[in-house]
Amino acid sequence: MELMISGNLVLSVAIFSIGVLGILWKQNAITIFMCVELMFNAANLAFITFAQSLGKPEGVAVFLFVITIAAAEAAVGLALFIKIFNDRNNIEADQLNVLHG
Amino acid sequence: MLIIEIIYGALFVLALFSALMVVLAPHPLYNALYLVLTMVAIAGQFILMNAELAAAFQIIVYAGAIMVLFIFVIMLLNLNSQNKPTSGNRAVRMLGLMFALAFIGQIMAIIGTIASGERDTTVNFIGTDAETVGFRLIGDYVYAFEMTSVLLLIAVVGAIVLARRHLIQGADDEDLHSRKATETFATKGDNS
Repeated sequence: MELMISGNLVLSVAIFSIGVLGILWKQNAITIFMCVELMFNAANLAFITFAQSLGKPEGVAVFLFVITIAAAEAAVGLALFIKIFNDRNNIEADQLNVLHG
Repeated sequence: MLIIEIIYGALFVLALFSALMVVLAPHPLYNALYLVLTMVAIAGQFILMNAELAAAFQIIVYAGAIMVLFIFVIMLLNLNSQNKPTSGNRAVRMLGLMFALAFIGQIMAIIGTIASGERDTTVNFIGTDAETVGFRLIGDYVYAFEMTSVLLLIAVVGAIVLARRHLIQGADDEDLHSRKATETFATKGDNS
């Protein structure tokens, strides 16, 4: 069972790093958004692992807050992507340079 | 006990593989489906840790609601990711790989020092049942709970306002009317 705790933490770190890698590698804005969701999942896994191993319900409460914020973020972000796609017919992140960022 | 470890290993490998495929798969629809697979595998990990409430929320809200929204938008936008510009940002990609590896190394070192410190902690996942979590949610965290409901309301309003086709009512209406008038004029001209 202790293997399960450290294994879950290792899995969480690995998934988080894959999310970071995807954000820096991919050009499609929706895929970048999915990598953000991947990082949320990694953080949730760490939260639940600590909550269950320490017997504290706060971790599960924070998990519920994270899910809520992810849902709100997905709704607003995907609405933005629909708007951008209607304007310029693609959502490649490299070509979104209106603000010269 | 052995069967649990076999299931744990299978879920571990499945989560890692599908998380990698989220980044490596070419089309955004495949990315989304592999992300669903990752979430299901992580929900399996939650069940192995006796966190049934978290697993149920993970399946219902994450894999059931948020990812359906993603897939719906991908199908709505009809993306074609064949024309991928891969020329100018090779340095950025290498930098990303370096950052990810450095992050992995750092966190692994921290986990290693923690795990080597107190090896004898026998943990049996005493866990948290749904009743405790619910009372904690409407007890200590009641203000945060209310804030999330306000946040969801703001997100819904913002999504509707953003995704509407005509944001500025007056100008776009005028534009629409004039376009409609020219269209009807054109069709009338064609008919007559």
